[in-house]
Amino acid sequence: MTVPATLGWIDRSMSEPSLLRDLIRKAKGGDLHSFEDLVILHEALVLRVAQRLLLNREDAQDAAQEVFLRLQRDLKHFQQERDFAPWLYRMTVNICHDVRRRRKQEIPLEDVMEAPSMSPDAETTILLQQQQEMVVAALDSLSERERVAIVLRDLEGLSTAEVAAATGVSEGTVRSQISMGRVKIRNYVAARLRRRSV
Amino acid sequence: MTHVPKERLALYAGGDLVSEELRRIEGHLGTCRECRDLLAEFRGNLVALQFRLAGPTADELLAVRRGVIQQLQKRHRVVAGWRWAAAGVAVTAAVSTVLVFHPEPPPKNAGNAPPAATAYLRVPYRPTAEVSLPNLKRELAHTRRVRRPEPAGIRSVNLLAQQDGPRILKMTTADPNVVILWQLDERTHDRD
Repeated sequence: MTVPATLGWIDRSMSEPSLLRDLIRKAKGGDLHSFEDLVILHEALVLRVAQRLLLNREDAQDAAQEVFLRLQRDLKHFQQERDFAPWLYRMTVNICHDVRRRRKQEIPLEDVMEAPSMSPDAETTILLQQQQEMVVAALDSLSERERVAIVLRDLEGLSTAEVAAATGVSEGTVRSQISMGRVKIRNYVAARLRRRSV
Repeated sequence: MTHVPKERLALYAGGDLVSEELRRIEGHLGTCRECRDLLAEFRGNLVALQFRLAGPTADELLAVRRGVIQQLQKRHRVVAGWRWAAAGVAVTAAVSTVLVFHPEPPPKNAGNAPPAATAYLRVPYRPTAEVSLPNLKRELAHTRRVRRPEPAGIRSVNLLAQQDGPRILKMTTADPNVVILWQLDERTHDRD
């Protein structure tokens, strides 16, 4: 069963701001149950971003756990008046970056996601799967910053301003990274398809 | 015909352009098949990514949650263990201190008792002598000659005679606020 991807700051709106604030306050005070509720509220967001950034299920799982353990440790530094989601996105992106750097290994792209059956036509299905694999491989070939920008903007559905807040760069820089990333993915896929058809 | 640059079309594909440029590109796309094909490629790639990287399964979420909670409980147990150990060491140290040094109990009401008034009275030894004016004057002169007179010492002695009453010696000191009146014993006076 696949949990549907959420867009934008939906995770923030999903949990009432006052409820979330209350949970954070209690968790900061050392209440383990409140922290568990925080984990339950945000585990989908964190694991989804980790899978999309790392393109590896096991690494993503490890990274998501590390995010929550670090969250528990650093929650005391979180200022209540700030938005929680950008802070969590930023922490997730940073930890995924560390995990990726630590485990410089070949990414088994075929294991990234189960390919759902889209069409009864076997040939079409195979072609679609191949194209999807190519696109994921293209995403993996991007620079770290371009990949983060594409994942947060195109897959997580954050606005340019929200991506800028989560990554700590200007909106202009984010726009440039998104544009370059999309063009590189398109060129990568187009080149593979051309080579295949020759 | 001038095509839309790839970078701008890539932004257009994701809805990242503002109104004026947006309208210009839309106008161009209506007439340019090549740019429309390129736009379709951008959008196809985006859909493929979204489909392929849809999100975690429920089992994966559960595994993460379990892992986090187990780690936190483990950490909590370790911290609690250290606290107990520290408390044990503190109690042992306190008990050892009591057993080894036997500190004496503080006196009762030690905290409430007012400090005792301490007075120092220096009385030089003198053989008993008859008190009379000449003797006192001689004594005073001797004191001034032999010893350095203290600032608070006796400066003058006068005999105050009262009719039909006891005689009184008036002694002034270095301190003008201190005057000593000494009533003479009649028996002493008689001997003088």
